[in-house]
Parts: sequence; structure tokens; C-alpha cells
Amino acid sequence: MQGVSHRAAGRRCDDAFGWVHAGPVTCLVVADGAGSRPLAAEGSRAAVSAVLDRVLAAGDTAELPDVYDLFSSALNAVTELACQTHCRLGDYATTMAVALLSPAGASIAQIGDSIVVVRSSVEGAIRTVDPQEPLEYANETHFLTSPDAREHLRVAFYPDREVSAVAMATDGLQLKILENPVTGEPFVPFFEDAFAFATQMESTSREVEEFLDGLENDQTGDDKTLVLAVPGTPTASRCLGPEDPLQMESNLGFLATDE
Amino acid sequence: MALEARTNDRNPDPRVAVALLLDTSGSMEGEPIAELNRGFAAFCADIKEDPLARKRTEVTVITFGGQPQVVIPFTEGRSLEPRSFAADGLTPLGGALEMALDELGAQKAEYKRLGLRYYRPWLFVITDGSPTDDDVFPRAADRVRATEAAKGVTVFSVLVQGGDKVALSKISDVRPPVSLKTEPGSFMKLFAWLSASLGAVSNSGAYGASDSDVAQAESLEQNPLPSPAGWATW
Repeated sequence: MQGVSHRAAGRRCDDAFGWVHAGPVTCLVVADGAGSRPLAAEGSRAAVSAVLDRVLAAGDTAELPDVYDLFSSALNAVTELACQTHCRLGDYATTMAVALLSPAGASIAQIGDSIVVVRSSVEGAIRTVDPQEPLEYANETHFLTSPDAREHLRVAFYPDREVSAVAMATDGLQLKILENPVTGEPFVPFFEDAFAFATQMESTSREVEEFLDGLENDQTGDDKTLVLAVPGTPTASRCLGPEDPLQMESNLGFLATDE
Repeated sequence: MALEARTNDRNPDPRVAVALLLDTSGSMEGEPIAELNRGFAAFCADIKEDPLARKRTEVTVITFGGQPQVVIPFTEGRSLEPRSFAADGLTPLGGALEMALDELGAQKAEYKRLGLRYYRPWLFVITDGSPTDDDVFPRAADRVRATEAAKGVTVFSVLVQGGDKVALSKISDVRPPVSLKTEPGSFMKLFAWLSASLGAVSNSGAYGASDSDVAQAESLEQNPLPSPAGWATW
């Protein structure tokens, strides 16, 4: 969903998102292109697309990629794009968060200020996964394309079926869905409602989009992306959004996983 | 079915904390205190007019006439209500400054606890006298200057006729005190300037999550304050 300030400035949506089901694996991705960089929208989209392709390519083979492989694929794709266009890698700067869900467990990897919140299937607790450590300057973050990206990659693993629901968002939603944007503590009622919504058979991405569009006084004016995943029957095998980042309209992520 | 999720709707705007130190000592009796009250009432109305200042400005009023005391605890601009102050007693400015630094420090800690970002706080003094708490004032003035040097506060002082320029000069190394013009209506102009200045601050991006973060943001973006020439002399 394009943010108000971007819309007013005639700019594109710099966020990208996607998901894919491949055999027993479900992979979700969100990425937020750095608003200050000229090609950020292309960067976020290329990164997400590369992750989805990598998961699909593995298909049903035993050689499932791990989240490190997925980040390498994303960085390679953005680097290649920069080479092809003779632009600097930093022009494509983007954050990225990936959740890889399989019967073995949930791996969640992030670089930058994305928000990933999970619900525990054991005690039902809702918690933020590895929130970004507060940096010295409030508007700072790390990017997939940063030279020291690997040092700032945050990876969490929840074995088996410890995680029963996943929500992923870009930082444009931080003030609305977090209790404390500095510590990353979630605003629990939001996630209770969102996961309950996602569990309903008749829920669609369109309603998520309408919800985000309705958040007028969001204080950030930034692009907003929300992807929700709960156990259920998959509705689509692959999705990459926004449909066309050059257009005003964009789809929002919502899906059911088949855990 | 529509997604109707509850969201965090607490005011998440960055804040500028303002400690307004008003001299309500006996010497303000008569027209000065009446003008001060009218000026403060106009300020309460004006601050609500600016769509950002009304949510970003948080004002506490500390009076020093007899005893220093917090008469209005930190209140968002949009909720600030006029108050009639009465003039009485001596001028314990030192105690009021200590109280203001304590209040500003506690408020800053509260912003951090809530994950709110903040602008550099303001300490704004209006006095027509000379500090009468000689045992407290020098230490308090040193503390204000040290906080200012650490970029922890912006200090302004205004002398109403009879104010002690030498003493007030000791609370800032950056801004010497200015004198309020003796003509009628100066108090109104002073408070109009204060609300306009807080509007300028609130509409800038000079805020952050820590004092160093704020200083960094100020170096990148700071709105100029309006000229005080309409009500002040130097």
C-alpha cells in the first residue's frame, strides 16, 4: 500500500512483498526500499522476486534452501541489476524480512527495520521476533545492500510447530501495530484481531488493503505492507506485489499456509 | 469480511517539552500580573491553532512567587487551559530552575520509556525581579548552563521592567536575557511569539530518540524562530 506522503509526492510504492508455496514449504517476504534512494522500488522488488524464485527452483527436491541462501539470492539479484544498469548498489538499497515455514519449523531472517510478529502455538503469546536494536540515530537502519549486511542479519528459528501464526510488516506500520516502536514490543490487540481475521475462510487481500488504506492518521506517511499467515489451505501458489509498482494501486498480502 | 483490527492510537508524535517559569512574586502585582494572565490565556488559544504544535508541544508551568511550584503539570498544547496567577511573595528563581530541570528530565525519561521521540526541551523564564534564594540560585544556574552545554535544553529568559539582568545572564551561555518592552501589549506579543516559535519547532524534523540523536537532527534541519523584535529589546 502506497503511503500518503509518497502518493502526495507522486512517488511509487517502495515496498514489495510476496509469498510462495513449494511442496511442504511456505516462504513469505517483505522488503522496504530506502525512500531516499532513486531505485529503491526496483531494489525491493528484485530482492523479493529472487527469494521466491529460489524457493520455487528448489521445488520438491531435498535441497531446501535456508534463509542464508535466500538472502544471498536476493543480494545477487540486486547486485546483478546494479551491474546491468551501471548504477551503484546503494541506489537499490532495501530492507528485507523472510519467513521460511516448513514442518521442521519456522526460520525468520531480517535485515533492517521490518516488523515480524509470531504467535506461539504453545501459550498463545504474541511476540516480536528480533526487533532491530535501537540505533544511535532514529531514522537509521541497515540494508540488504550495505557492505556489512551479513553482520546485521538477524535470524531466529522456532522448531516444529511452535509458531502458529506469522505477521510481517514494513516500518510504515510501526506506530500503529507496536506498543513501543523503540523496543519493538507489539500492540497485542492488533495481532489478535489480524490473526482472527486471517483465520476466516472468506478473508481476502482486498480487505487488508482497505484496512491499510483506512489508516489515514498513521503519522508516518510511509508505504505500508502487511502479510499475514495462519494455518489453512493455500489460496495461491505464488504472489509478488505490488502488482505494478509504477501504478497507484497495489495488492496487499494475505494468505493461508497449509501447516 | 472487513479487517477491523484495533490499532495503537496513542499520540505517537515527537514532543517538545516546555517548562514555562513565571515570576508571580509580589512585585508583579497589578498590571504586570494581569498582562501576564492575558498573555498566557492567548498562548493557550494560539497553541491549539497549529495542527502539529497542539499535539507535539507539552507545557508545564512553574510559578515562583513565595514558593516555587508546578501549577500546571505537563499538558499537551491541545488540552492546555488558561489560569489566573496571583502575585505574592519573594522570588525563589533558583528553586524554580531546579524544579524545571527535574521536571524536564523526568519528562524526557518518560518519552524514552514510551518510545516517543522528542525535540530539545525548552526552559523559558519570565521575571521582573532578582532571585531571592541566594543559597540555591548559583548552583541552579550552573546546572542550567551545564544542561544547555550538553545540548539538553534550550534556555530563554525575559526581563520584565526591574528584572535582574546580571543574575539572568548566568543561566545561559548561548542566549543573553532580553527585556520586555514597557509599552502596553508587550506581554501579548511575547506569548504570541512563544506559540509561533513552538509552531516552528514542531513543524521541523529536529527530533530524535536520544540527546545525541536530537543534536544530529538539528544539524540537518532546524526552522528559524520568528524575530522577537516586536516585544523585546536587548
